[in-house]
Amino acid sequence: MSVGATVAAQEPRITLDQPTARVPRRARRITWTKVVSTIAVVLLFVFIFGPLVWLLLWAFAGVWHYPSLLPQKWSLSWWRQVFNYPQLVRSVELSFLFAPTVTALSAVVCLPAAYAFARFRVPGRRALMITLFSVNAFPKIGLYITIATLFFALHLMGTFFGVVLIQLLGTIVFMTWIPTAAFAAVPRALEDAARDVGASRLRTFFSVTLPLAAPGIFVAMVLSFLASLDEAQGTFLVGIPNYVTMPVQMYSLVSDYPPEAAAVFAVLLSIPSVILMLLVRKHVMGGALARGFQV
Amino acid sequence: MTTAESHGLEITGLTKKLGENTVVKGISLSVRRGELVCLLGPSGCGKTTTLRMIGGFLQPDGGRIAIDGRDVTELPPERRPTAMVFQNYALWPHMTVYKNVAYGLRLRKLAKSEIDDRVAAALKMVNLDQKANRHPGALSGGEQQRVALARAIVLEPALLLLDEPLSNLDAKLRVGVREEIREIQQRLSITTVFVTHDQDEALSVADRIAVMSSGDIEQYSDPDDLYRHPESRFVAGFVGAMNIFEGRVTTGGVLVGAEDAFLPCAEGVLSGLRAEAGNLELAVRLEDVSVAPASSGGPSGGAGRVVRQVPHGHFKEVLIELGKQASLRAYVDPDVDLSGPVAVTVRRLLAYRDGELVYSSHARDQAGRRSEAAAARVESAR
Ligand SMILES: Nc1ncnc2c1ncn2[C@@H]1O[C@H](COP(=O)(O)OP(=O)(O)OP(=O)(O)O)[C@@H](O)[C@H]1O
Ligand SMILES: [Mg+2]
Repeated sequence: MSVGATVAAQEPRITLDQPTARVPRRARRITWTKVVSTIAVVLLFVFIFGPLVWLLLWAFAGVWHYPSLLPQKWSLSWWRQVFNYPQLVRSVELSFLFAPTVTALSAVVCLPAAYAFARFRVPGRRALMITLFSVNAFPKIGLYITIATLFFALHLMGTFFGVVLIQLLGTIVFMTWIPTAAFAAVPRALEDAARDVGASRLRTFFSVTLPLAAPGIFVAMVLSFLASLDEAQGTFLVGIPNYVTMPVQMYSLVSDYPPEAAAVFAVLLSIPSVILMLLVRKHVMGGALARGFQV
Repeated sequence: MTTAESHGLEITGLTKKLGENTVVKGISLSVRRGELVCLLGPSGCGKTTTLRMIGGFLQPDGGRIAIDGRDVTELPPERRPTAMVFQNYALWPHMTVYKNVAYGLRLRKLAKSEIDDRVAAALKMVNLDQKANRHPGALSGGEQQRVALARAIVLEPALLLLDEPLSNLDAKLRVGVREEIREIQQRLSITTVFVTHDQDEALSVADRIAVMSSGDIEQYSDPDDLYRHPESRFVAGFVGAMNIFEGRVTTGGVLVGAEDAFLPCAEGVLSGLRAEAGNLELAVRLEDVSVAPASSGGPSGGAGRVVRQVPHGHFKEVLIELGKQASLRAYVDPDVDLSGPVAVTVRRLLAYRDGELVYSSHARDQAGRRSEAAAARVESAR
């Protein structure tokens, strides 16, 4: 015991003995790493945020001609124009009607499946998961057109339910993959322990499994919400003329108005995304997502 | 005498197949009320599988399980009067220590004040009353282990199940916590099944030990009997330090090893074993070997040489070479100088044929302890 204590007490003194030899070298190393990482961060920043900044500038530009780096004149007139655009309010309403509906429906459909995939030997599980993935891996327009012909036959074209179904196609992959991983990451022993002290299967699910998988499920729901909010192709195909959501509205805006108006609308469209991503950041950063993927 | 009528736990013919292999092969075991029984065996012998069947997490393929006289074989875990301490504790990370312990009581719809009292008492018993509001992630391994124990005992189970509860603790803590578990178990007098692969742990906490080997119970005895009378070659090798030789009996001793090194036995040690008994496996405890300097003119013994010494305080463990092919270990007095040639004598000896005990130089002190099968085997060898 006393030997250990002596050694521990001496350790700081050793470093104090040669402070001059160490500090400069360490300082140099830090500067060098700093330079590299700063350059990397700046590049990444420009790459990701450059277009957004450019979009913001356009949204507030009055007059902006070529060689100038910034608009010559600032203006809110395009915002006024867009807010006076008759279908705008309607499209915002529609978007925020579809996104929660689609998210809730995909949760109802996918979460039980995800739990089953994680906990039981479901035959064809792999095939199904890969199919889900590949639906999103290829351009969807072909698939949409095939589905559209089916929807015609079923009289789903131009209906609310038709739009919900077509948007589900894009959210199912998130709602299945991520929660499956989240459920699988809950150790079975934790469930056994709950059964052991007297909880039924259902009770165990709600007091142990679900809370522990919740961060992963939350991430999946946010991603679904955003996917639904941004879905344009399928919604355009199935929804018009009755259901014109914000991203679909973008198409007519871009063709009917100058770029400034489109920029304003694009900024509006990205507000929910930014807010939700900030909300979900804690969970993504906290490693819930990363942890969830280690099945 | 009522305890004899219904055991705390009674297992009969329990069988389980996992995949291709039969992992538990029709074991039977009865545990008295308030008794602590260890399931002891090497890795993969089916201890966890057995325990999980008792807890209700695995459905047996055959056999019955009764707790306090009530058949629970068909019941799901939540309806059995058992509480389990899992190997990795399995504390719920999203609940505080208090909530972990209170969860089972809440399910039983007890009054809030009663829950508070019982949780407080349980946490006090494991010395964690100061940490009730921590989350398990902010506890050390030993503290987590004690929360798991508190969570189990707060329910006042009829049967406590512990699956290698100490395997994640460091050696020093392990000894402390195992005494604590034993003390609490005695105080509450809970019937307990304690799974371990550490024979030292089993010998020190158990009332009785069931030694398991590949899905079977090899021997079920109290620690003392298990140590002194291992009924099979497997138990002899697994429980406690033991010298085991291939050898044959001759006059005054045994011949061991490839070169037939002579190992003399004390007067009467071989009295029940005939010289022509053929090849046997002979087992001698380290404390049953006398070692003396050869020059001292002691009993005429086999000549040997000490090649290694390990001090243990009040005794010393030595490795002695008897010729080129045979060696044995012994405990000796640390003050005796054994640097020169030494003479060894065996004072107690067990003999096995085909893995079964056929001879023991010392009869059991209590005849009642001897299982009938082993007694019959010993008789037939004489
Ligand atoms: N799902 C399974 N399918 C097939 N064999 C299995 C399965 N689970 C366990 N086994 C086998 O059953 C045997 C007993 O396992 P068990 O977990 O009961 O051993 P144990 O005695 O608890 O060992 P340890 O001390 O390592 O925990 C092992 O040989 C193991 O390989
Ligand atoms: Mg085990």
